[in-house]
Amino acid sequence: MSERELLAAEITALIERLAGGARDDTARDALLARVLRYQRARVAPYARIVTHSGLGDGDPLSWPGVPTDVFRFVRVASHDAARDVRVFRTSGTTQAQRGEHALRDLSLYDAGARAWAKRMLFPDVERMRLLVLAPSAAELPDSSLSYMIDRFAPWFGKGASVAIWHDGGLDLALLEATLRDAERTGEAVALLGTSFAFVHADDGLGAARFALPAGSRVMQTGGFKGKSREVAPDEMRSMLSARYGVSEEQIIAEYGMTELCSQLYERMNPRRLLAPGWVRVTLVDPETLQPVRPGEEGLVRIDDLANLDTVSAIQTSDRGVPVEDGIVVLGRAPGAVPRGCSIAVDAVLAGERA
Amino acid sequence: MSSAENEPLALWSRVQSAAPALRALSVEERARAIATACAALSRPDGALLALLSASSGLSEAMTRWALETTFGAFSERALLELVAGRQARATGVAAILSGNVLSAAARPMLLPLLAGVPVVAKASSRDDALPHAIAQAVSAAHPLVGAACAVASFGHEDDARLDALLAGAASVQVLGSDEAVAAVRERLAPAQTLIGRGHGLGIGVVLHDAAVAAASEAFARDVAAYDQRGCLSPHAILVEGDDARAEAFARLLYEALARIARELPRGSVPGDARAEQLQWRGVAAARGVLHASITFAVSCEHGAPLRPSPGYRNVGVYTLQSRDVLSARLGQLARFVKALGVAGQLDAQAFAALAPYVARAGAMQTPPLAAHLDGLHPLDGL
Repeated sequence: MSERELLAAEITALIERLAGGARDDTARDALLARVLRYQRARVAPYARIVTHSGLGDGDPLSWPGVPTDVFRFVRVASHDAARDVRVFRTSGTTQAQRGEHALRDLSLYDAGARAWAKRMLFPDVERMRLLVLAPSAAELPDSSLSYMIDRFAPWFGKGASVAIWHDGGLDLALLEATLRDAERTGEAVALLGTSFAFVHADDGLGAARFALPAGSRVMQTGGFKGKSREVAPDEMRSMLSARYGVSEEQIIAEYGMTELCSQLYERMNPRRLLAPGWVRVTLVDPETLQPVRPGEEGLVRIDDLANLDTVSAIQTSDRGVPVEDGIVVLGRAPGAVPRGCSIAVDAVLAGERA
Repeated sequence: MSSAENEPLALWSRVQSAAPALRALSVEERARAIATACAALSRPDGALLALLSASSGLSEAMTRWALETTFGAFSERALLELVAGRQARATGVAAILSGNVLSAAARPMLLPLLAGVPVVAKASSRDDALPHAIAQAVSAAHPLVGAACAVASFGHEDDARLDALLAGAASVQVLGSDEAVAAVRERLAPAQTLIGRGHGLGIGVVLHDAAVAAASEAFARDVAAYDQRGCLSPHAILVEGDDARAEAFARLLYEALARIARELPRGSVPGDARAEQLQWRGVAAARGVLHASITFAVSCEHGAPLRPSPGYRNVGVYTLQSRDVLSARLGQLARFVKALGVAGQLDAQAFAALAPYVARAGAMQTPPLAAHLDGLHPLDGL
C-alpha cells in the first residue's frame, strides 16, 4: 500500500468514525500533521511556502496555510494534470484568474460531503424530494457546488432532483408547480441553492406564498457576487421562512469553498458554523498567523483532511470570530477602507472573485 | 463646524462672493500667499502632525516627510512659472478629494486659487484634516485668498450634497477610483468640465546600466513613501537582465526597506489590506522568492506575469529580458500605469508612451509642481 493509499484509508476511517458528530481532535491533528508532511514532499508550491515560513513539523498550526489566491496563480496538487479526474474552479471572468482545485480522486470529497450533509441537513430522513436552485454539474462541470448538489440526489434524493435552474436561469413556473404539489401531497421537500438564486426567486414569485409540509428545509449557500441584490443573513432567513413556510431552524446555510473538499453548516441559537470532526477551523491574525483569542476577529483558516491530493491547510480571506463550538463568518470587506486612485487594481483585473 | 459651514450651497455663496477680490489680486500676490501657506504646512506643529497622522494612518515621521516634500514644492517661483502665460476661464472649481494619499489635496485645492478661481473641496468625512488645514493656512497667509477656498465634508452616499457641490462648479476635479470619476461624470451638465484622475499605479525599471545597489536605495524610497498607497507608488519593479540580477536587486531592496523603516516607519494597515497582503505574500512564496518582515516585503517572481501588490510596502520584482519588451511585459497592468520610475540612463522620451509621468528612481513620489500627472498640465480644466 502506498503512503497515499494508507493516508486515504485512515482519513476515510476517521470520517466514518466522526460522521455522527463525534470529535477526536487528537487523532485529527496527528493525522493532519502526517498529511501536511506528505503534501510538503509532493506539492512544490507548498514546499516553497513551508520553507519560506520557517515553520512546519509538530502541531498542524505550526504549518503554514496556503492562501486561496495561490490556487489562482499556480497548480497546487500532488499529482500531474494527466491524473486529474475533476478540476473545480472559482467563479471569475477569465480563465487565468480563476482558482483551480485539481482532484485525482473524488472518494474523499464524497465521503466527507455525504457524511456531514447527512448529519447537518438530513439527520431525520433517509430520502426526500430535492429542488435545486443552482446549475447542474452538466451545465457547470467545474463548480464544486454543482457537483456536490448533484451527488445529493443519489445519497438523499427521492427520485430525480427537480432542476429549477436550467439553461442559465430559474424556471419559476416549475418551482411554483412543484411547491404546490408538495403542499397538496404533504410530502416534505428540500430546496437547495445559491443565495442569489433564492433572491431572484423571491423577486420573481411576487405575492405567491407557500406552506410547505413539516420536515421541509432549505439549504442556501454562497455570496451574491453582484448577481442579485444583497440580503443580510438574518433578512435572508426571514425572507425564506416567510416565502416557503419553513421554520427558521430548517433554513440552513452552507459554507463551502472551491479549494476545500469539506463543508461547514450553520446552526442557530447562537448562529454559527459547525465543521465536521475531520476539519480544523482556526481564526488567525493576518500578520502573525497565530490564533486570535476567543471573541476576537481573525481570518478563517481551514485544515481539511479530505484535501489529501492538494493541500489541507487553507488560508482564506474571510473574516470571522471564534465561538465555543464553531465560528461566525463575517464575510470579506474589500473596499471597506477608501483606497482612492490606488484602489486595488487587482480587483479590477480579477473581476468577480469566488 | 456649524451646519451652514458644511453645506455646499452656502460654501459656494461664500467663495463666489470672494471671487472678485481674488481675481483683483495680482498673480504674484496670489502666488506669494499660497507659497506662504505651503511653507507653514511643510513645517507642521506637533498637534497638526498628530492629527494628520491619526487621520491618514501614516506614521508621524512619514506624515512629516509627506508634508515637507509636497508643500516644499509650492515655492513662489515654481508657482509663477507654472501659471505663466495661462489664463483661467473657469468660474469655480469643485475638487472631489480622495483619502488614500495624505497630500493629494494640495494641487486641486491650491492651483485654482493661484489661477484666480474659487474652489470648494469635498473631503471624505473620515479624512478631512488636511483639506481643512490647507484652507486655514491659506486664510492665515492672505485672508482674501482664503475667503475663496472652502471645504465640505460628507460621505460618498450623500447625493444631495454632492449635487449641490457640483451645481456650483464650472470645472470639477475628481481624485479617486474609476467608479468615482464615472459617477461624477454622470451628474455633470455638458458645459461643465471634468478632470478625472482615476485608478493607477507606478512601475519601476532597473536598466542594465544601473548599479543595483543604488537603484535599490532609490526605489526603496519610492515604495516606502505614503506607505505605497498612492497611484504613483511602484507595485512592481522590472530588472533588465537575468534572474540572478533580479534576485540580487530584490534582496538589496529588502535591506534598503529595512533601513528606511527605522527612519520612516510604516503606519497602520486596515484589516482588509492585511488580508490582501497575506494572500499576495503567499503567492509570492509559492511561485518565487519572498523576503518578508511584518511591515514590508519584496518578492522576486522572475518571469511570471506582473501582478499588483496590495501596497503598504509590499513590492514585486520581476525579470525584464530587455527594455524593448517592456510594454509587452506590463501586460494587463499597462493601462493602469501612471508613473514609471527608471534607474539607469533616463531617456524620458523613450518611455513617454508607457506612462504619463516618467521619473528617476527615488523621485516617483516627489513630482515637481509642473509635472504632467495623468498626462495633463496641472492647470488644465481651469
